[in-house]
Amino acid sequence: MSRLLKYTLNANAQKTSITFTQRIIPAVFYSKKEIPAVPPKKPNTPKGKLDEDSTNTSSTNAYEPFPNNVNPKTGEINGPRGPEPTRYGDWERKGRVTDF
Amino acid sequence: MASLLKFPISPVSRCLIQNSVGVKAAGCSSTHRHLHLASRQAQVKKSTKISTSYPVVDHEYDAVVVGAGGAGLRAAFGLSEAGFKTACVTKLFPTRSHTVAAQGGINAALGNMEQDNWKWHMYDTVKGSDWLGDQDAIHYMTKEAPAAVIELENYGMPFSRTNEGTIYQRAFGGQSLDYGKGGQAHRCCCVADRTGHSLLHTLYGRSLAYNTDYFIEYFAMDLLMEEGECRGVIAMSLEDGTIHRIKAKNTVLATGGYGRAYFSCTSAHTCTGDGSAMVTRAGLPNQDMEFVQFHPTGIYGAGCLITEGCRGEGGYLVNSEGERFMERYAPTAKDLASRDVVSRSMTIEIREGRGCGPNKDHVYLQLHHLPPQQLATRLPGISETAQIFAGVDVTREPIPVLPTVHYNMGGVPTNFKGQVIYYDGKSSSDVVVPGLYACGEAACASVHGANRLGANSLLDLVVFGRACALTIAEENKPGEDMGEISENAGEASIENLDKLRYADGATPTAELRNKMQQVMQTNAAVFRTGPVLKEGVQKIQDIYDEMDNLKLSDRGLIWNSDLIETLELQNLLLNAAQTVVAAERREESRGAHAREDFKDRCDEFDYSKPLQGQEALPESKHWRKHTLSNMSVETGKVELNYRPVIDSTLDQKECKTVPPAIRSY
Repeated sequence: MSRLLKYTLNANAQKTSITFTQRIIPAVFYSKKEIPAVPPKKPNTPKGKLDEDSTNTSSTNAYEPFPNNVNPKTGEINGPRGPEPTRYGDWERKGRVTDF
Repeated sequence: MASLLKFPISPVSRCLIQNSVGVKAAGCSSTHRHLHLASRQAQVKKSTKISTSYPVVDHEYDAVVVGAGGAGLRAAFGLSEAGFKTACVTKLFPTRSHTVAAQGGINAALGNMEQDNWKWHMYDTVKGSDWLGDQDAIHYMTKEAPAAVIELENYGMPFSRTNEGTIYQRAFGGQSLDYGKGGQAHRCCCVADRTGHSLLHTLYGRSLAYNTDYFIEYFAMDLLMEEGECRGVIAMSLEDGTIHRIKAKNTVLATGGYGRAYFSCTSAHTCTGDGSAMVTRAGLPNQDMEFVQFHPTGIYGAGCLITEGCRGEGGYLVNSEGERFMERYAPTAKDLASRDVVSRSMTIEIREGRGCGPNKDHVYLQLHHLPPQQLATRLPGISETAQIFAGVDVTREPIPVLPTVHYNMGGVPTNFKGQVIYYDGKSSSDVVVPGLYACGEAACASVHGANRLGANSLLDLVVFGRACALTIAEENKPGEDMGEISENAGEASIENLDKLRYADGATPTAELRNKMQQVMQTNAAVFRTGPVLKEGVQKIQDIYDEMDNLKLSDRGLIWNSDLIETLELQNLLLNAAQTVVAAERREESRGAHAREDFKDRCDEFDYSKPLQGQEALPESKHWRKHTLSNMSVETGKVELNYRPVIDSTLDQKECKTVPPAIRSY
């Protein structure tokens, strides 16, 4: 459905203001029958010579999610997955410390 | 586009004008956001008086915030909310600021897990700061903490919850109940494992609801000081090299720390202490620069920290001879000695030539003697970390580690309201610099004192970001008149820029920066003694002199990262010089500043003995005072002064001063 835009232009000198109804026609015009069921998809960026193989998108997730996102030991909802981050006295995730 | 506005819109056909540039037209509903550029056309003025070869554009605002991390965003939208016309100048996109890397939580005495009281939190923070923190600022921060966390939660920050629906709090970092006598307190609120990330995105999303003008990817070069007042900043657009003078009655610095002055740090490459350097160039002091927080086991080259739990689970540190050297330094505790003992031992091993690697500048953390099953269950994810950041297989090879900088307690001195101060020795009082405020890691309020407690830093950001906005709102009105800036204000910055842009000496920036980082890592890191620090002072002075001999290869103005990195190197050197000189002068060990030749804390009384009968040492003889460092930009000489610690709280009836004592955990 093309958009209808109403501009009321009050031309400077003219008393009789003319109302235009402009139809802005988009660049690609689909009639009702032609609207594709699946929208067109951009192709992937071409792979460069030195690019690593990026098809493996799943990162090794060391932490399994809790059932229902509830930590079974502490009852925390939506908390950090895996073992308790503060168990060694600092904030540890995957062996990395971000706060101490 | 501007001509469109000349046509009056008939009130009869009131409609949304949809064109490619959302211009706010009279009579239309204000659901349209001003596009970045369009809204500024009316306000900016080109100025030719200051420089003809560099186009300078002038802007005028009520307030400008430099830096868009946690503290900067909170200040920016706090000001916009109060109705001020605010600009936020940032060299990074707001959600890329280093706050995003903070994974730990925020401390607040909400009392969701057990009975809690903010006064206990205040006691813990004062103790953690080794009695160098200003107790009025700590009082303010811990009292505002619950309100700040609830405010964040109301903005949509998804804290983890208990079953009852309240915010889940966990035990962390030196927090206790009942003034240290009641056991571990549970005060740390978090958002899964990405609190900083979530905080930054929440604040950014919230700030978009207000009319803050963001100057994104603009590098703030200097403060515009007139008659001792701060009247704005001068910044360079990274995109096109234009210079922008942003004149504002109130300037808030929230630029973060300067971790990158060291070879091994956890900070991003963009943490270059721009705010504290701008303040130095304006002739104002920085406070407590020698207090830098280290962690013993940071991965060599990457800067990620490895948890002490590795050593807790049986891992140990080895030197190049394969010797488990901690047995010599801490015979009983061995690798489980306290962090500063471990850091110092590692540094001593490296200094004595038993470091590993081609440069012999790190040690190894060995975990491959542990059963892989145990590693995988107790420390899941560590093999991934070691593989990604160190490139080693943790079940076969050791991880290269060395002591790493994590946080800078020092920075721009402020009072508890966020106003930048300097100390007037004659009247023995703090004097406020009109128009200048600071918050976050860049500021030194000082809530962290000599040592920062975990999970207090994110709290510091939001509380003092808000405090700056509140102070400005209290003392100013939107649209107020302000003093003028001279026609050629900021000329020195542009001269410096031009000089660097065409610099054609011998040393590339990266080489000089690496040299500085190595010197700081060797001489001003964990292992501090008189001769080592003196050597550091001299070497940094030499490197500072070498700044005249830089070589830049990129002469352009558009995305000239060579130029920006050189400006950042200038900032880093100012911070580094003040750090090493202040460390050399402070002859005691307090908090994060630990000296081999002065192992004890030196207060006005000896708190290890009963106070009765003791005479207080005069201020010149004891070290329970803040260091204020001024630096001359031409010569590189640092001058030190001292300022007393504020012991009185905001309200003695509400919260009494915590009297100093020996700090032991």
